[in-house]
Amino acid sequence: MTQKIMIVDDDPDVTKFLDIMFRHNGYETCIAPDGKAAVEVFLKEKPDLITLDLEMPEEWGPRFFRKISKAKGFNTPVIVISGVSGREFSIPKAKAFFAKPFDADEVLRKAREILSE
Amino acid sequence: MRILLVEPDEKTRKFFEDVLSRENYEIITAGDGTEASGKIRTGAPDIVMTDIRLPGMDGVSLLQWIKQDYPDIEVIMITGLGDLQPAIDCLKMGAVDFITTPVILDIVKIALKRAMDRIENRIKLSLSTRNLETLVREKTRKLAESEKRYIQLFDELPSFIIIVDKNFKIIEANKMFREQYGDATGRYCYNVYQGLSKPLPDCPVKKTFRDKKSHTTEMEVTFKNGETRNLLMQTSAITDPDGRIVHVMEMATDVTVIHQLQDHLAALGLHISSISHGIKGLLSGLDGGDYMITLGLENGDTEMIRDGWDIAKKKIKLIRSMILDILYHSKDRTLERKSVNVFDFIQELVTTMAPRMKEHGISLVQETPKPNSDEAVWIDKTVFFAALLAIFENAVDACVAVKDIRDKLEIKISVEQKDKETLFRIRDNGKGLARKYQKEVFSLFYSDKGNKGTGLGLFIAQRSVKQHRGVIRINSTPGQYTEFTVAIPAQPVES
Repeated sequence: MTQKIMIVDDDPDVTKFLDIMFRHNGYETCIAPDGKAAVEVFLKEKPDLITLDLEMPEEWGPRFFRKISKAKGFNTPVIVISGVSGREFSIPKAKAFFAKPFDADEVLRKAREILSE
Repeated sequence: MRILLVEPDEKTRKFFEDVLSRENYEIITAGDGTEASGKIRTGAPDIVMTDIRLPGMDGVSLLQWIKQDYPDIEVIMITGLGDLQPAIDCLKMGAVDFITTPVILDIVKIALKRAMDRIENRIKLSLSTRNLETLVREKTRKLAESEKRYIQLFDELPSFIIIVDKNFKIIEANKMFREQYGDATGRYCYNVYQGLSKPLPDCPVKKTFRDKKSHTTEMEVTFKNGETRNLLMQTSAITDPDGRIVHVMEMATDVTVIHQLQDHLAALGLHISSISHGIKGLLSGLDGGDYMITLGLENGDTEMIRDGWDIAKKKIKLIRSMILDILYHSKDRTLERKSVNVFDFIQELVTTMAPRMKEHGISLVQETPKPNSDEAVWIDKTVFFAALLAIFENAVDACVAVKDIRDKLEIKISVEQKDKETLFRIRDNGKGLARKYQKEVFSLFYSDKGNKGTGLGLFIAQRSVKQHRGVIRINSTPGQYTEFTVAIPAQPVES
């Protein structure tokens, strides 16, 4: 079964980049432009992995994470991709942190590694 | 040494001539008083030896005449042994000595020696008197010169220098000070500089009077042309010869340019940090374009290449404008002032803040011009708006901080037009601000909101109000209220 990656970022060009990259490498994707929309998308699409930006309009990444992680049985891995400094402390449970600009191959390698666990 | 011998008796005269010539004196002679006075005038003798008894003008009269007209000539009287009384009288009248006849050679020598000693002493005395006078004259000239130089130094130093007494009263001021503040002698320094009615608690003058050491402070003053300047003031003690401190000298240097530079650098730094986040996003987008173009080229997918190139183009454009923005900011931005309608301005401000106020249940009271009023202010709207917005946001934050303990949260905004200035007041009944922090709130990166505040808001507000040649004042009681008053000049003041 194809695995699904949810991309949460307010910059449409970044989401497009990640979207094409993941799909080109055989994953399904779904996209949310901010933390608020991300909750709905998350519940509807049930992704296997989330890439999450921190600073977004409406709702910030950490808040979105707190919301969805409260649900029973939540164990979806999260990769933080953000330009905010101090990102390591924002979501302690995240599997990986990438700074913007990020190395596409590194992100892909990490996603593959997490999804094959 | 020339001696005039006045002797009517020829034999006695010859005798003296012989004796004195052998002693290497130069001798001129006269037979009576009248002849003697003529030879004194022409022959300029150093010593006159005269018989008391002379035909015509007698010896005593001759003595009196000599002492009156030629006081430097020493006179030795010659008298018979029985005639001592007149000889003693002559001593009282200024004769140096007398000799009696018949003549004893040693007594003559002694008399002459005494006369010569007196002449010598007089020469010495007059010489040293003359030296002393020259010395005094020279010293006086030097003293006057150095005094003039010190006054010049004091006057021409490019700082404001005043000397104050223990009561902070100005007793002396240099030229630069006088030119700025007029004759302020007798006035209090804190009043002249800052319009205060008493010295500040941490006044450096006070400290110097206490410990004799130099102290510094910085103050903001308004010059007579309306300009606000930063002065760095240093004090030093002036002591009397016993080392007791009598006066304090205050030297204030204009450091406004340094302040502007500091602010400018800080603002530039903050500008860069704020755009660095944006740049990171742009670079990610650029990477995306790159990735898509590469992928498109690998697979011969023209559409993918076009999409990627579109993204890349868009990001390049943004990066270009951002770089131009940085270049623009690194220059000194001059205000672009226009007449701005006060009602519209306040409306825009209030509208911007309305959602946050509503969210926290803060009510707004406005004492501002009515719609359609033509009241206007002369401002650079963008710059000044940022200032008032920062203060307004601060008021909202102050209210939110006491949200749980205060029944009614309220922010009042008012505008008052005066003759020379326009006052904007923003008052909140939030948490208030302790006095010691009232100055600090304007410094860069000061924040009492934990990680919620950036410490930039009021720093920027201060900066933009200063650019408008205005001032921000704070009134506050902790736990009760805070009121910010922004005063800007009504008419444009151009330097």
